[in-house]
Amino acid sequence: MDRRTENRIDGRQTTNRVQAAECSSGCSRRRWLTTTVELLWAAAVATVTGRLDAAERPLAGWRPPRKRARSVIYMHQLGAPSQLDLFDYKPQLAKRHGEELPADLRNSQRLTAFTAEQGSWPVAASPFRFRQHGESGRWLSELLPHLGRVADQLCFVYTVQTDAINHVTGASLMLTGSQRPGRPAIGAWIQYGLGRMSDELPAYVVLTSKGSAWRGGESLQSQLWGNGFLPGEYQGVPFRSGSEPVPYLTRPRGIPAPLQRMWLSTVMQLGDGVEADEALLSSRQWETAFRMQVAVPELLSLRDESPATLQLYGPDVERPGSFAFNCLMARRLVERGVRFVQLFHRGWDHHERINQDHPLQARDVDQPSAALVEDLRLRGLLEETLVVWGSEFGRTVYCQGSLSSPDYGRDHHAGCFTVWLAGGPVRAGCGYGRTDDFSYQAVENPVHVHDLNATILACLGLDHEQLAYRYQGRDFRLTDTGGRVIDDLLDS
Amino acid sequence: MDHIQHFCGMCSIFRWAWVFLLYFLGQSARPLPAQGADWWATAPLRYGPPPATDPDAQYNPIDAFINAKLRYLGIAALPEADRRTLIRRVTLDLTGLPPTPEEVAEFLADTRPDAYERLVDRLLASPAYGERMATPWLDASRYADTNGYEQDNGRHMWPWRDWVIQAFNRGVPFDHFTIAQMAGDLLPDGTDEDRLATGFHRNHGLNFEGGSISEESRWNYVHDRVHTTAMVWFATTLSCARCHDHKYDAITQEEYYQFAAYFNNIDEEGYAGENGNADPLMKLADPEREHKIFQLRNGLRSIDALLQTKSAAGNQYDRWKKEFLRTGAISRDVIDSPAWHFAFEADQGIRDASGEVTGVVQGATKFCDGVAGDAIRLDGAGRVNLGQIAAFDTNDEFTIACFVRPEMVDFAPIVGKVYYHGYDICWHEGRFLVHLVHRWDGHYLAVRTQESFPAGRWMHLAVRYDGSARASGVAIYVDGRAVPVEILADSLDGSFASETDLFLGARSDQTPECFRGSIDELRVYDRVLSGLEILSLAEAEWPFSPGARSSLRLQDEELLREHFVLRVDEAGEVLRSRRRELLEEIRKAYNDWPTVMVLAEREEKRPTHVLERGRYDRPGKAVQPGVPRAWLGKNPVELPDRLALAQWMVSPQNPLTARVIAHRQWELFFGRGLVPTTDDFGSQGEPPTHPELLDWLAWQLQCEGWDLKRLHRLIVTSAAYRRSSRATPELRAADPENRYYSRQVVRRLPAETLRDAALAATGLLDRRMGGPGVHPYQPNGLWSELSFQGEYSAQNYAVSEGGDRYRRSLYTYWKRTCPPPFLSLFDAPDREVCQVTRRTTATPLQALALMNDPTFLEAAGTLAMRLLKEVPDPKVRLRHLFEHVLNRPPATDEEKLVGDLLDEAGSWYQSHPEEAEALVEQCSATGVSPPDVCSWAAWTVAIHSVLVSPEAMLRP
Repeated sequence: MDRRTENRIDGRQTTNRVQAAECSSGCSRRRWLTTTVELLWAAAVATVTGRLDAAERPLAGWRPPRKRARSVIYMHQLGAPSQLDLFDYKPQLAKRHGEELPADLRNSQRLTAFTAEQGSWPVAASPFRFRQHGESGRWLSELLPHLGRVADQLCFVYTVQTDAINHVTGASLMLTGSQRPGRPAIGAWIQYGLGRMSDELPAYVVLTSKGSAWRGGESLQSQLWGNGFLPGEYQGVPFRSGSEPVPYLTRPRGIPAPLQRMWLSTVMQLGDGVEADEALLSSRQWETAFRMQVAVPELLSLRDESPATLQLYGPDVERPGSFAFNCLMARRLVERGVRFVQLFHRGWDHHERINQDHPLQARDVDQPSAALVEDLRLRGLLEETLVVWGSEFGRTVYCQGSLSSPDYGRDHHAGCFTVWLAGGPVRAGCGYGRTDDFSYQAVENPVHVHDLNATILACLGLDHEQLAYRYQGRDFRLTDTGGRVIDDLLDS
Repeated sequence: MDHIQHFCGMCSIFRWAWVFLLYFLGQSARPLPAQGADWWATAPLRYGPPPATDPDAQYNPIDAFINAKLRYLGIAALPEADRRTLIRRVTLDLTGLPPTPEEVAEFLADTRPDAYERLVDRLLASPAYGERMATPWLDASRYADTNGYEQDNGRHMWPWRDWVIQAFNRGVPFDHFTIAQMAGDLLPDGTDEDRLATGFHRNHGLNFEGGSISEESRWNYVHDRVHTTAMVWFATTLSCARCHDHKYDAITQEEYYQFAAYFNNIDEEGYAGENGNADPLMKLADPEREHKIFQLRNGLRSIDALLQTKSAAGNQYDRWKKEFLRTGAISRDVIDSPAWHFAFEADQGIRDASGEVTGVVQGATKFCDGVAGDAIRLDGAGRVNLGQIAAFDTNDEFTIACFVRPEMVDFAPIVGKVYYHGYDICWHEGRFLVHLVHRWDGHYLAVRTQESFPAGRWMHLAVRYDGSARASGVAIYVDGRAVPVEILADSLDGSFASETDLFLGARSDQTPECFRGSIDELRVYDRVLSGLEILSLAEAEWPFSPGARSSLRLQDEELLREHFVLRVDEAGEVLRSRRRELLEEIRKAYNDWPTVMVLAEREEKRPTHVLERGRYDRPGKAVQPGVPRAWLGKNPVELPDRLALAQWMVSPQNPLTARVIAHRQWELFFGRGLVPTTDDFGSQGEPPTHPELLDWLAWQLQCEGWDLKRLHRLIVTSAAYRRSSRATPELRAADPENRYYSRQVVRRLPAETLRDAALAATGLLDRRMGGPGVHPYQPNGLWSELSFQGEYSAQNYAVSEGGDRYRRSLYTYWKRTCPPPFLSLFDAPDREVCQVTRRTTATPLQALALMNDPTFLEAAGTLAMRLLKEVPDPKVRLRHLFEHVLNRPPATDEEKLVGDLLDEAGSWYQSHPEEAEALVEQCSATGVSPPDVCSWAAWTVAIHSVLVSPEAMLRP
């Protein structure tokens, strides 16, 4: 068995809060590293070829934050919510409702083929009221009353910028650092850097939900949780809402658990003494698989949750496959040592009927997102869990379709959109960056996708420039050739 | 360096020191980034005979190289593996399947000195060889059965995949294999098969996400081809030079775009893939279908001839004409019964004459004076939605007529019902223009009046379409008269049914162009009107000078004949309806004609520019096609097009590709290449461990007609390949990574082989080759949870019926955004991008799949049936089980282990017979019907344990 995996599994029992650097040291040691001579060889090979895995490198020249998260819950709102209708308050737009968006501003970003030839790009003010919340006084739309209650825990970044204007490429850039497929997803990178903590559950779990306004579209690509060129063990595992939450979890008919137990012990004993030059399934992994058949249903059962907790997440929580259910599941997963939980909520792509459909989607996510933050805080988990709420881009200030129609929508918008973070070393109650009067471009403190990802890695104590992997002759990293940690988002 | 090696080799006491030193020297002697003409990978092949004096070279020249190095290093190689190991190893390596117990017995009994070579020859001739060799090529070419991106709907590329399998089986030389796939479309004497081969470069995904920018996507396809070609044939990563000069290798950004220019002139659209395959396409040969179409066309010709004679023929027509000239009137039955009629009267609003359809005004429109009463006036920003009416499709006839007064000169739709598909009638710089659109990327027809008409005056416009899917079936009438048209496009080859509403003044509610001008008396007929009827229609509300009327109608013989045939002659109607049927059948025969995506060049060359920071919308300096200088070594050449490039790639002038390919063949059989960094022959990669051997192998390829089978035979018959894999601790210490091939390595089977081996060993494998992708078991709901849904194909998974559940894994339907989960778990790539290596990992989820994937259990059940029937003695049966699955008899302790499980499971099922019945039910698809259910169930469980035991997953 690969020693790397062993190290990490061992590490779990004793130190749940194991520090990043400790956990990752000893990565990539080959199985033949047993004698000092070989050690010498290995060191020589590694030094000369420059093939040290990044996680093995000393984190020189960069100081990780004092507090570090050990897990991440990343809530991706697929389809792109409108920052203008949820977070980025622009009261002055009411006066400009119906005016043409100035052409030079409009052309400061690429327009999609939906609206590039629309001929008229009138400003559409948000019809939703905003009000201030908490001590921090953050403005939030009336669509997000529950988030308002935890606003002091959150850190809003108003000026996230992306390069993509379409969903597939946009989501890919956010989550893998590249618009085109082939790169590992952020959860794979983090698992690669920090290892796994749970013996019974995958380190990287994906939960998906379809929103109330989802009517087809906004598909998910498995590369959004793929291992890319990293080894397959870093692949995210999608949990599903149906009868078989994890692929292959269900025993075939006629093979009940006691029988499978007997079978398994024979399989493992047949393997005694079998050697190979490549990774082989170890007895421990067979055991883990067997135990998952109990651990996962236990995980998915809400019997042990208090009524107060269930109430916190709202009425949808008991419906498997809802966003609320997935939020509670995310907490249960990080509680059990899962490193990275990726949520996707589909249904935000409102090219039309935005004023009818956005409230539906917001109702899906508002209470559960807020509940998750609150629940983590109450359990003391928020300190060690980074929560990210984002999307692939935002939506335009101008309308798509005719403003006179009640059914107008908003198009894709790359220039600025809002992502909020909470937990770990993230500075609570903070608002970062300023957008122009139209929420069209950042005028202060722009945060590129790579900057955001560099900062997320920093929250876990990982240096985005060091977390690299050599493939096809090149060192690849999540932040490609860019990225800069936004220190202002972190408590120093 | 040889003298150092020699010296150190003699002093075994210094072995460790020198191994380290040698490695260090080897590394530090690597050329630095400025790799140029002297770079090892592009240097001319150094062909020397193998070290001849080597007494160990008893099998073939490969061993001379290998053993020479081992001797220098003082490493003692392991002896040949035992025969059981040998046959299992070479059969798995060459066919991806294990040997049968009979094949093993035969080999063990074969005492001829060349028994092994005979075995190898049998395997090389087996059809399974092509299937085995195709799999890495499918990874490299990112082959999949879907288009990827947002909809990820199905495509039709499996004929290309089958071609690859056959090419390996037929032993198509690798140079032709390369040229055909790179440029089969450009070969002067290229065959259909050569064109089919170019599907290699169309295996990338296609982006049909709404709102995406076509040119951006198209460039992504070009980048993909550059990346893939560089990786597969040059083992170089070019991608970093897309945005800037290569950081390590001597490749500039300009060179990147020179190379991209070879792939930048394909006649394709970026926004493509809605309905599976996208242009350019080739139709696959289909003689049956061709014959059918030939017959249908014959039928059509005879009907046309009949219609001709009919209309020319005699008495009846003359009688009718006389009558008509006397009264000057035709029946108004048809004219007066349009399917929809909007008169646009201010007091009634926008309302169909039946009162059932009411138009919805979007934007500013108002009523004004019209030709008959009021008309509607559109202001260039508004449009009128007439709802879900006039839903015509390709086979339908229709006529649309109205009065129109344009107030603009440029472009706007007058009537439209089109977004992705549909039809429109437009005003285009004074001319009338009609589109019928299946897909905008070349699958539509467009007809425009030759004459242009002045804006600002009322005209009567009528457009009729006869359901023929041909531009000749569209006629445009202005002021009652057919006007000459020009055909802009005539390639409508599918449905133009549209989900959008019918719009006045626009194509749909999504499209920006709006009409400015007035429209009156819109009539829509679901049939063809005769010219005479259209003229009457125009005249009825005639707003023009009265002069030109009757003279026209009386003089135009053709008009009269047409009307007669269309409306008066009853026999004509019968013929016409038969004609419509024939047209429909012909269109159907064409419609689902299987195609494959191929390469085809644009006639007008698309210029290529350096793209600043790699962005499609930032073109810089123009460049011509060319190959990076770093690959050319000392042989600069001019390679003007893709064909020249392909030919050069496999020419003696290019040693790099020969090395890359030879190296990759080696890797297939040893688990590691002669260059440790398989995917990087550049300066960041490692140099070869056996440069002379690599060159010798590459030279073998170049000189022996690029014969891969021959090379594979050469490799697997070498002593190096045949060595034992039971490494002693000393050997592991001396050659830990087996860099020097002192032994063989034990490797986990690739994902496909893992599954195929279980199916084959138990007799459940369905050996049918080729054809569309199949759907074996996969956990429920995987696709539906993630997919786009809507009208697209490949959104929900349905397990195949019958033998298709148990076909070889390379035929598994490959959905790019949700690849086959079992294969993914065992390290198969997702096929989003080219991949030439696979890593092997072990995860608990793999164990879970082996436990619970029904495939393995059903395989076990199948073998249990067979053994229970054929072998009465349980002890012998157990031995047979091991022979089938592991190709060897069980050891004593194994016999006991599995025997114990049999007993335990047997008594367990005895006390739980309902579970045994449930197991029969689970395996019902395999057709098992055991006489003794409990015994069968116990054997199934026992076989299952051996089937997924660690050894079963290994290539020894």
